Amino acid sequence: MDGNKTVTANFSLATGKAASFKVTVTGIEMFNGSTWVSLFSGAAQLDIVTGGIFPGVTGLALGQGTYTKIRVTFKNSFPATGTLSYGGTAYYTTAATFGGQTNLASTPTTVSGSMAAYTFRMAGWGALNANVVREFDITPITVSDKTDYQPTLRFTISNRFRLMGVSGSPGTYYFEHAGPNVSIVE
Amino acid sequence: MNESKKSETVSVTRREFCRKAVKRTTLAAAAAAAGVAAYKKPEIKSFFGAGDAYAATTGAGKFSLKGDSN
Repeated sequence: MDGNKTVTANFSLATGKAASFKVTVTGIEMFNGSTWVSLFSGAAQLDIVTGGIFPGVTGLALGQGTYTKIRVTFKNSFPATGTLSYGGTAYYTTAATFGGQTNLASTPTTVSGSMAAYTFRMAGWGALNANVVREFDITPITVSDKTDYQPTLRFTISNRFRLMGVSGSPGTYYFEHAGPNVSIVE
Repeated sequence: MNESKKSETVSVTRREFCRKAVKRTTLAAAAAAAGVAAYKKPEIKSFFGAGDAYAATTGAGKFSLKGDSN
């Protein structure tokens, strides 16, 4: 008969929302029924927890036509900070990688003043800084000179920020961030 | 005697012409300078009364991208 075996597994000890989560948009296109029209190409970064307009992506000329889709390209690179509590102790992100999981796991600290951004990538979205392309159907919009179209790129990140590890063994604790849902809100 | 008068008349007329020519030149230069200083780039107005002439002439609207989270 086999002896007892110990299985070590990491569990989610706490979940929440990052305190800051920066998204870098590198391209925006809209579909006018026959072709994709490029509206923006570059790098515009915004903390989507704070929210607002992506810097430099405002007042862009949108040529006449009727558009039915929007395509947004962003980097698989998300500098984020955050804190979660477990067992009465607050843990904070640091820039240090945990367990060799580069850009996937942040080593936590209990020193609030040492909280720092960790650049996460989403494992299912490719390598760090890979372009992630998302295409969305929109309510058809016919552009005139009075059109001021301001859709919102929304990342659902609630409960995607997690403190992982083996309960009672703080040395095994680390932060990870699960892939957000991305949507366009008009 | 008549020859002398004629010569004098011609001389006066020529002098007057030169004096007026100098005055015209001066006035023209001043007008040109004033014209440059007062020049204002003409404002392009929309045929449709829109403030954005570019938008009006191209039929273009405006686009901005907002971001947020939930």
